[in-house]
Amino acid sequence: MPVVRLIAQKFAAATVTILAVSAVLFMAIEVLPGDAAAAMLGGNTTIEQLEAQRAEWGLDQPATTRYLDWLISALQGDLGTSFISGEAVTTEIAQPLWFTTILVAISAVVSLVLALLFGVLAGLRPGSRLDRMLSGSALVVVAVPQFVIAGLLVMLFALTLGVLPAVSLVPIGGSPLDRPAILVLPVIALASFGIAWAGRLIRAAVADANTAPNVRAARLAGLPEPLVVWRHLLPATVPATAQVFAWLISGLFGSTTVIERVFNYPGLSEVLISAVRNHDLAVLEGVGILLAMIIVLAFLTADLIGTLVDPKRRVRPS
Amino acid sequence: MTRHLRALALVPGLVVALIAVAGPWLVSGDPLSIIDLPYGAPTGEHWLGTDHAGRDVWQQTLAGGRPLVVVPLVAVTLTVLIGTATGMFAAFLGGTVDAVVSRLDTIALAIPAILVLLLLLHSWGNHAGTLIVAILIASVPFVSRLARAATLQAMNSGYVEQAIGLGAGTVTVVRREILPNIIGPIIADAGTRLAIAITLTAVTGFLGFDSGQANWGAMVNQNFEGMALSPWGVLVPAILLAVLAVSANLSLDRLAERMAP
Repeated sequence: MPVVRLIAQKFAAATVTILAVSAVLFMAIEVLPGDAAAAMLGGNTTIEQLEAQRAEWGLDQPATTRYLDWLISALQGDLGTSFISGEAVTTEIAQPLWFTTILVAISAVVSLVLALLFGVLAGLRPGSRLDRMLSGSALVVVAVPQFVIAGLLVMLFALTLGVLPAVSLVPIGGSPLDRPAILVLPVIALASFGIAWAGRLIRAAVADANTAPNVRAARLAGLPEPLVVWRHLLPATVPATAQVFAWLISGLFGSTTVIERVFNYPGLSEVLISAVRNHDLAVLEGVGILLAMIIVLAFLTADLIGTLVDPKRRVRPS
Repeated sequence: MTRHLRALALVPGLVVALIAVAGPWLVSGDPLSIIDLPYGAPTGEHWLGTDHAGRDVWQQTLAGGRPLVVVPLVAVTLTVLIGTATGMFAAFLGGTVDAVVSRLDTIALAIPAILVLLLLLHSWGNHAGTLIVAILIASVPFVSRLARAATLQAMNSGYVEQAIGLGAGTVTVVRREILPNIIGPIIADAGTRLAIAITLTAVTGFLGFDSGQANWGAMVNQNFEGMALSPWGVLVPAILLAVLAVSANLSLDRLAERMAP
């Protein structure tokens, strides 16, 4: 089967997944107790006022109608209006989403680079002292909750040594990139898990590839070790590494919520929590669908990289 | 020698688990009652001083560990059972069952776990049941996918076909041929699931959902701002949490090594 058709197929499958996620999210948010009209108007309102507010927001329409309306606008780039602030959801979440993405992107790159280094160093000689040391520390780091790591980091670097800020204050009208110091501790807290978790998986892939016939043959032929690793071993680990990177992106967008709370970082965490509190359906759906799209896209990319790199996978998937 | 050392490494974990499970019986009075000024230093009466609201840190430490042992343990056991069953049967039966299970897994994986947790906490409140369901939604698809891939691999290796050819029934094949071969990677992965489950359980306080009961996660969160005044309210629960999580992971890792075929 031609590669182009395979790629088109994978794109179609990803689109179906995103549509399904949007429907599931809509249903899940639909069954939340309480409603936005009551949340906004407060306790002292008459039933007529509530009804009028619901009618204004279209909440008196059946759920299917509202879902289809939402979907059609969403396809045109309009995610609706926040019930609470009255602003467009896209405007309201643009900046927090961007700030969160900065944090996640830096953490993901740091994680991947160091996880590759760890994976190669440990995986080339499984069972060696270096491997046992690295794998042992990775096990510990994976296990310890990230907010605990964050707390210990703050205690050491912010309170004891006083070299880095404990709170991530973003300059007004600026971005976190204007004050890189505020990113350091959140990135270490997020990437420590990423390095340890991804490193263990990449280590397994490297150890596996290390025993492959072509790698052995290259060694026997007397190629220098760095060349063996670069030309023969690493290419074999690309599909696994791409997959691990996609998992990393999806995991980081989840765990950043907690880390942002620890450092008071102005990202999506605040938006999500207040939207759940205030029953702000439009914001919840908007954030949910954007995150789902990022995650699905990450997996799609990993899948495509895996397919393009490995000729064996270009056949029709079973 | 190393084996004894590794066994010894599990002792702190057992001690912490004991504190967590038995602690609530040792508490004297209400651990959340205000007894002194905030962030007080340790005294003979209040061993670890007081927290941000002037409550006894040691009493809260005793009272606040049980949910962090019980909830993740129950949730991960259920996750492994459900995930293994769905993934294994999807691979074994193929066809529509496989298509449906795989599609559901993909959809569940695309929804951020934290969003699921927030929605459920808001709907049902901060209870053990809410947390267990949220952990299941976030973790079952992982295990299911892993079990499916491992089962497919086991089925391609010949002996499963042989067993079927010799007339073994589905249940026998699954129990005798497939399960022993896929259980190793699943248990190794369960360590990560457990770590995530402990984090999700401990994190509810951080996300602003108070359960109204003492909880190590909530202690870390609430006393964070006054860490410079008195570190015990953060340090003690944080270290206990870390020891608990690391020992649980080490034991699962050892179990996985032993069960590898």
